[in-house]
Amino acid sequence: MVVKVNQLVKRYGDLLALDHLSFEVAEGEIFGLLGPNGSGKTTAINCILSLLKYDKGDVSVFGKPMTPESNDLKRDIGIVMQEVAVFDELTVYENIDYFCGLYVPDKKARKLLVEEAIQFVGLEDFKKFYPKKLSGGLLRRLNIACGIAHKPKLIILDEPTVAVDPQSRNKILEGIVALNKQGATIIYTSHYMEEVEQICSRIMILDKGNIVATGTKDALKGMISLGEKITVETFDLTTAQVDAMRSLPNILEVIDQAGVLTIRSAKGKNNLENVLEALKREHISFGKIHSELPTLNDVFLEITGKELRD
Amino acid sequence: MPVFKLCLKIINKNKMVMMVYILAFVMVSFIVRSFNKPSEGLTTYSDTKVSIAIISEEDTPLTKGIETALSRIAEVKSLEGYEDNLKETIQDALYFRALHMVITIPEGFTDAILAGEPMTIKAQSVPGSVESMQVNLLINQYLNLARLYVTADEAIGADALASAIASVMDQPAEVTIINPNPDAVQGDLMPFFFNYLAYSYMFVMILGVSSIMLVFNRKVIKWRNACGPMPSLNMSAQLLLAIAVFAVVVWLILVTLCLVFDSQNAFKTNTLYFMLNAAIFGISVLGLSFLLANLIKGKDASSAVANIITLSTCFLSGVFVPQAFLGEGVLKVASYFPTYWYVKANTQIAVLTRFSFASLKEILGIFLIELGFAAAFIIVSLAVGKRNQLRT
Repeated sequence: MVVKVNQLVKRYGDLLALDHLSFEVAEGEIFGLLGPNGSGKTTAINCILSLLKYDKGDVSVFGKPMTPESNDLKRDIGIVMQEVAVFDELTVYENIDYFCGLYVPDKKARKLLVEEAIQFVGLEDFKKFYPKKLSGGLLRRLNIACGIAHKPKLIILDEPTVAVDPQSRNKILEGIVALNKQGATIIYTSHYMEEVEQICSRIMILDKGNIVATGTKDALKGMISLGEKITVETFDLTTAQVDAMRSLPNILEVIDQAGVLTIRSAKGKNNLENVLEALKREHISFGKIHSELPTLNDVFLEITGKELRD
Repeated sequence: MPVFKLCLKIINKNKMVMMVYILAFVMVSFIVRSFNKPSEGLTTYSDTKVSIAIISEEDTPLTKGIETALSRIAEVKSLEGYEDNLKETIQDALYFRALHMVITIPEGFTDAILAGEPMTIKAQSVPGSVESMQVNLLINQYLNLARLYVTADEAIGADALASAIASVMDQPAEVTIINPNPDAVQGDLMPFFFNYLAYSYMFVMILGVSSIMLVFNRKVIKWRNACGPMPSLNMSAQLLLAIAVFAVVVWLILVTLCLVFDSQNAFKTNTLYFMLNAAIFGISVLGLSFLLANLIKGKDASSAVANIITLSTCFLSGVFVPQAFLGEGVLKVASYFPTYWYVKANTQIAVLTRFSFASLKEILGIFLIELGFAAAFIIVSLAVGKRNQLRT
């Protein structure tokens, strides 16, 4: 195991931030930590990195206990913090060179690594720019370059896409997958479920310092009773037609609102097919029709009774 | 050494503000030097003469003798032609300092002296005039000699008495200027430059150190650095080394400027002690800068704090106004700052003529006080740093 967290407890005064948290991250995984703001994702990361003292539990990285003095372990860890951690006084190149210099003392080797990192995040045209001259997206990319330039075996990214434009977000996500393909194990925290679904091979959902669920995205979705959500654009539906839709097998809920019929089905086969047949049978004329599989938000909603994004 | 290099880059980024204060030092030094040409010291002596007038109501060898004796130390001016309004003329001349003294020898003066009777010479002078004292002394000397000769020889005549006194008073006095220590600082430019150095040095150091510490004290940077494999001790050592290099460079620049502006005294032993004092003061300023850097929360605040602390301590401690002109209460307050001790040491170094342990004892004591301030500042700043760490 690359990371092993066992019964981790962290309190901030009376607030229990992590409640006996246990999980493992295997080599080569992209492990997603998903949860709403304040769920304990960043606290967990800071405890793994020994930046925070914790009240109980053990953390080991690469099979060795992790402490503030574990400099040999830190050498193989790359960290991209939630808040951009760069120096305003240094250019893009100098910033990456500084952080890489903490791990790689050899100047020649470092130069190659810095150039590679710049290319990796697509900042070739901004090497001599100071951070204040960069957009939010470019700044995030710089933050990532500073964390990965030394080619670590374990990369921890704490909400790296917060306040980033879609173009930069895609670039960042593609980069993370590429790093994983190059052999790095990734721990990725986010409250954006789409991102986690897109790139993570295994996901742990956190809420109030507790694990809500852990598994692959399919396994997580398999945990809930909800099937697909079908939305149909309709015109002048009668009450009888709506009732006919409600009477279909495996249907949990039908809402007719503002010309849109929303049908929530339970987990099962042929739900869409059954709906299409019923529309034809009841002579309901319709425009667009859209079927959506359950999301991680639905998983979170069913387990905790609240939305992931609060 | 990434941390060391980063510190130098941060200082380099803030150099313009610091340069302003170095330039201010250059400007002030240049102006002071222009108005105060370096003194060459007391190496020669020449007589200066005061202006007097003598109104003699009789004409005898003795009155002539007094006039001759006085003419050696004074320029005797005539009042002829002013007899009609003599009183007003004398008053105007004294008021406008055209004359320092007017002496009136009364009628019967010679007879009274020869008879051994008491006799006074009337003198009008500018109030508080030092020059008139010199004339009074000479007149007293003349009258005492006359009394002495008359007592010794009651039959002595006016001619004989006048020539006997003249033979004594004509003896010229030779003046030799002895400079016991040609190495001593001549003039007061060097002490001024070194005192004024405190202002620029303090400001630049506070600004420089706080600009570095503000960056490294940012929580996110602190944590990001802690994620790296470099031991915190190594990181702190690089940071301290960079700050020490910065302090030495600023010291070198300012000391060189002092030496350039008063090159006449550049190679005196006193100057070495001025330099040593500035270096020790630099250590205490370094401690103060560390403390302030741990208390300051933003860049704008650092500039304001640097200005307030520097200006106030310099004013109180006698950097701009000599300590001798400051009140006891002010100096008492100032003694809680290292600047006061720095200026005090400079004042004592300036008048040093011997460099034995006994002569230097007090100055060395002041050096220890300055180092004590440095230690105190560092201890307090470590405590503040620890408190800040606990808060985060």
